Amino acid sequence: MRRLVAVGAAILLVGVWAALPGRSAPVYLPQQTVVIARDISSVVSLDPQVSYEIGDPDLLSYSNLVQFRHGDLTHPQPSVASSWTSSADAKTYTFHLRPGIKFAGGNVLTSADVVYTFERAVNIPKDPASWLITQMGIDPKNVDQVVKAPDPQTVVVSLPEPFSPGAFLSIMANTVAGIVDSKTVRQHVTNNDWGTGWLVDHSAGSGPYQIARWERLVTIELVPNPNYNLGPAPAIKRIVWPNIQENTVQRNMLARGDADIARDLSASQLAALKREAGFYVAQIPDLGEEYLGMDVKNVPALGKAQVRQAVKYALDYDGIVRELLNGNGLPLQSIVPKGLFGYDPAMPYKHDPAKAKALLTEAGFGGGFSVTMLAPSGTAAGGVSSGDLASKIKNDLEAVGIHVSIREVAGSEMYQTYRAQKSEMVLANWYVDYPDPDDFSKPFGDYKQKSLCWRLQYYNDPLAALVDQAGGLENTPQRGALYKRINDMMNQDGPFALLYQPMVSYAVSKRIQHFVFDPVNDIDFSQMTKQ
Amino acid sequence: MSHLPSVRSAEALKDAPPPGAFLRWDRRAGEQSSARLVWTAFRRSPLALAGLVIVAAFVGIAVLAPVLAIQNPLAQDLNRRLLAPSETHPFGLDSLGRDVLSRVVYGARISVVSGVSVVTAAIFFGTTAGTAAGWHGGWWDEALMRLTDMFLAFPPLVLAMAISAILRPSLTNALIAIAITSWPSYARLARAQTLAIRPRNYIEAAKAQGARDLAIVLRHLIPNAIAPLFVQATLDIGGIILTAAGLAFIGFGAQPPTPEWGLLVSEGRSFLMDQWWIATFPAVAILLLVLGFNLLGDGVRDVLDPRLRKVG
Amino acid sequence: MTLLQYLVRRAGLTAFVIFGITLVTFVLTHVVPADPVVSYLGDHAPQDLVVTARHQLGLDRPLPAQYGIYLRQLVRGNLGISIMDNRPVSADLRQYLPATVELATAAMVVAIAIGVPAGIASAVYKDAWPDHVARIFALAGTSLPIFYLALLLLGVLYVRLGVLPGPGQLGIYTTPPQPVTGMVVVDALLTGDWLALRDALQHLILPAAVLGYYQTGLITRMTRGSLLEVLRQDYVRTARAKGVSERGVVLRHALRNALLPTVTVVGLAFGGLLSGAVLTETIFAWPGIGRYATNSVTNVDIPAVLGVTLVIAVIYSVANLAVDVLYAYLDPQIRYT
Repeated sequence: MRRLVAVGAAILLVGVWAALPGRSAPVYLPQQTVVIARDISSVVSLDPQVSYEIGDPDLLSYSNLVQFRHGDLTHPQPSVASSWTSSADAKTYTFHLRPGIKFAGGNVLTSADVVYTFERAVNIPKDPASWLITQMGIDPKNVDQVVKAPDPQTVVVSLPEPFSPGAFLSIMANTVAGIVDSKTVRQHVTNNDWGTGWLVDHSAGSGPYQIARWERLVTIELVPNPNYNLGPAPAIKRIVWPNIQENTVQRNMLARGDADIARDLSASQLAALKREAGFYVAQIPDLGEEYLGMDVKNVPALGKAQVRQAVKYALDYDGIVRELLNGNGLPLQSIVPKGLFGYDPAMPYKHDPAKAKALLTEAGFGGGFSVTMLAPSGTAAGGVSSGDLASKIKNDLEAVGIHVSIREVAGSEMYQTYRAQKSEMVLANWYVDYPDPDDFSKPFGDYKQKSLCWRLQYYNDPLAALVDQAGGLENTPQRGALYKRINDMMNQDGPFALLYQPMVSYAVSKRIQHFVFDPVNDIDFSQMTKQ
Repeated sequence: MSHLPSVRSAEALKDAPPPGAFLRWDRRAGEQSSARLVWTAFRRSPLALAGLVIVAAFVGIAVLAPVLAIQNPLAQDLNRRLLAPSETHPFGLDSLGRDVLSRVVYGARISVVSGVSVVTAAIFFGTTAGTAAGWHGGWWDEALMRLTDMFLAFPPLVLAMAISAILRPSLTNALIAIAITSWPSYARLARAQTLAIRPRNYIEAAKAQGARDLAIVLRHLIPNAIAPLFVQATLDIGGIILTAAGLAFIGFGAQPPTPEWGLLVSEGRSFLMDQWWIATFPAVAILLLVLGFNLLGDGVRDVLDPRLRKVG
Repeated sequence: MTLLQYLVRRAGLTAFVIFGITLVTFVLTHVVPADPVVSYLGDHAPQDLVVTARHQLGLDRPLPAQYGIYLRQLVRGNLGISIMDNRPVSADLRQYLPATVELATAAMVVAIAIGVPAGIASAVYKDAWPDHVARIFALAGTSLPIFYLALLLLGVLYVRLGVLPGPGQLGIYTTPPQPVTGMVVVDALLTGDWLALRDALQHLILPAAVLGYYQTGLITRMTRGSLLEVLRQDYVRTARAKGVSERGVVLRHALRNALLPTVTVVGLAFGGLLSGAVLTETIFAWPGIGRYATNSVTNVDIPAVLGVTLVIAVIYSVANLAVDVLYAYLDPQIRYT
């Protein structure tokens, strides 16, 4: 018994001692450290040519030939390339590299590194990001011919076929084209893996930061690149992304000062936070959209254009945007979202149940029909729970006689069904890969891409031809007119009911100054300071 | 070390509710006294009585849900979303303007029915397999024990997640998955009972009189096994309701807009800091019902276990 | 049968059971109507890429062939490569298991520290108010949805009162101790890193309390039941008759024997703790195997799911075996059957 008491006392003592406030000596002070609470569970690698789920760590540790700055997503700015020219046929691009750029490891960046970067992108097997490069017709066999380095400061890219110039330069600014230090990476190649095993949690770039620590499902940490010479050294010395999956916990950390920025707060949490001192909510329209997809074969009723229109009239867009999203989204009925060339502000569909019923009767479905709606578990675009959004849509559709059963499943299952053309109705979203209207019109309108409209078995040849034509043009009024036509066709006949354009919203502590961000580059740390 | 509690083997301990007292419990011994005895014991144990009252109350709520609910649990009103508890809506309104009280009340139906049906299914399949194994012995027995070993060694949540993913996530499929993970304990219990009773004189007598196996099992074995199975079931129901809630929390259980309690807590959790009522009322409902079943189970066990009864 | 023979037989049976579990898990993960490749490549990847990747991963081969390959690897101690992070599953498990072991152990300490005294009070004062209070308190832990309790306690103790630190194993500004075992508390202790040790212990309190409270009901119930039974036995009566005080009877004579079944339950409850860890770890951002398991299941990362299931099954089986052997050792009356 005495032993028991002694053990108990020991435990108590340790507990008391542990509960005493203590202070450790960090390498970087809290004023130099920014903590971003975010769910990073889906991040599987920080290799720039592989990473797809998160942009910031790669955009901060690597530099690209060109970059977008200060939220201007239509005019790429010089970065590693000080200047470039393009041929009239939109096939050949010549980049002139800035001399003397240094990688974090000390090597000097040359055209050989750019060539190696392209080779990596097309050669890494089962690479989620590679399609951004391969869609331009570059593959492991022709990459030597397509990307050439006539001298250490010049890179020439000669595409085998014309590709939209806007889209090409946008992709060059994407993480997938982040230039790696070929000498360093080659030292870490094992089993012909192009260094992917090593680059998972190391960086070899020329950006302002480098990766200090990455543990999947746990944390990402960046510290400054001591050799950075493409711009002034940033004031923030350490950036940490702990993996916080519950948004309530993200909000807790923000409230306690353990996090400076929270990324995944729900629409109503953001609304509540706006009323609190000490924080601000930074919002801009995201380049993406939440949509309801309708399979035109699996559900006979949805095969009729009038029924698809009826669904579009049945939805209470205002209720969704104003109430469910608490303003964390904008009305959107254009395939190309606001902020990109080709956006169409027209809103042809309003909540009109009477009209929806009339259209259903006209199509011969006055008695209604049944459909299963697939929704991914978790959060929909704009920080509203997927279940809530699905329930709201079910409510609206049932009001006009369409019976909906909701199936909320893991994303891996939903997209499997959707990709196999086996869905009936899906609640999903699409976000920008590169800021060009082509990135939206192709998946939504061109079934030959085997993307969104193909998954819904909607094969519209005239539409696909228009999309293809618009894709190859520069941003001229002619291109604008084409997107207007594409959008009208999609609204009239297409298998998508666009629900809204979400906002990118960050809850930020007022200790942070100069918080600048845009939906493509995310947070800009170059000007940021912290008190 | 001679004063160990009477546990025959560590294996038995895993099967039976602690401390394995039922192996000795024989229906014939306590037949004449049962009803009155149970009642007396219940009266002496206020906690068991409280458990009974709680469970009965929730069964009542489940039955009377249409009367008790203020409105349709699915009716949305976006203009009044997230309103705090008031006189008209004592539990407040949720993110779609649905009445939380009505959803909790209808949720009682789902929880009571799911708990009872899973346990019934698990008892049915478990007892059938366990009795057969115990009765036939030999190869049958060995195979069943290894099968139960396998199911018991499986991480239950992983198994339930996988099964409900295959069958498509829905409340029914989550319940099937839970039933699949919970039958082995009943099988082991029934087997232990069968092994304990099979050599008894009256069984031998019945055999000698030419009774068929099935008849003996139905007439003698099953009635003897009912009490321990019942106790185990009462103790299990709570855990089953919680597992269903846990599955709903990670998206493998009930589907929206079903007012299942676990789903209600799950949906309300991001509102916990600002609109506490959305998650808290269903959580308290889960707490009460599961606690009720646990207290009732403990009480029933105390009553039915002859050795514990005489203490104090 | 000697103890050695018994052990060999049990080990053989365990191996058989584990083989069965891999087979069931393998079949289960393959009939799930979800695709690991789709999950890995994301929504935007073109259809052709999905087909190529399936081929590269060998997912287009017949199931028996795939299982054969898996088993052959398994026999060599190779758990395969995770589809999601392209790392050996064994490396992943080595990374995530220590945090869970640490959390589960701490939770067990909490459960015993609350559960055993509650059980004793409950048995000694059977049907009086201490019994009622102790049992309601202990059972409430087992009856609450653990994810709600976790969020509630974080909201109160971390945000409102600020007495305990938030999620994670260490604060952002604490330098992690030199890794030795992977368990932060142990590593800090081994390397004498007192600052990290204090921070780690503080971070451990809340998740361990939540997870441990969940198991308290079980411990209390077991302690109460077996103590009641022991108190009824002859030697206890004899002690009482000899004039030993009631306190002495309970603490010196009865408790030691009554705790044996509780020890058994502690062993077996580890399985339950691992399940509870799935939900707790997500909320507390705890870098353990529970979170890895959920992530692997939702992404249908087949080798990872198999690996996690296998490890948990092995832990469970070994714990079971240990309990049985311990029991046999302590009570010679038990025959090895």
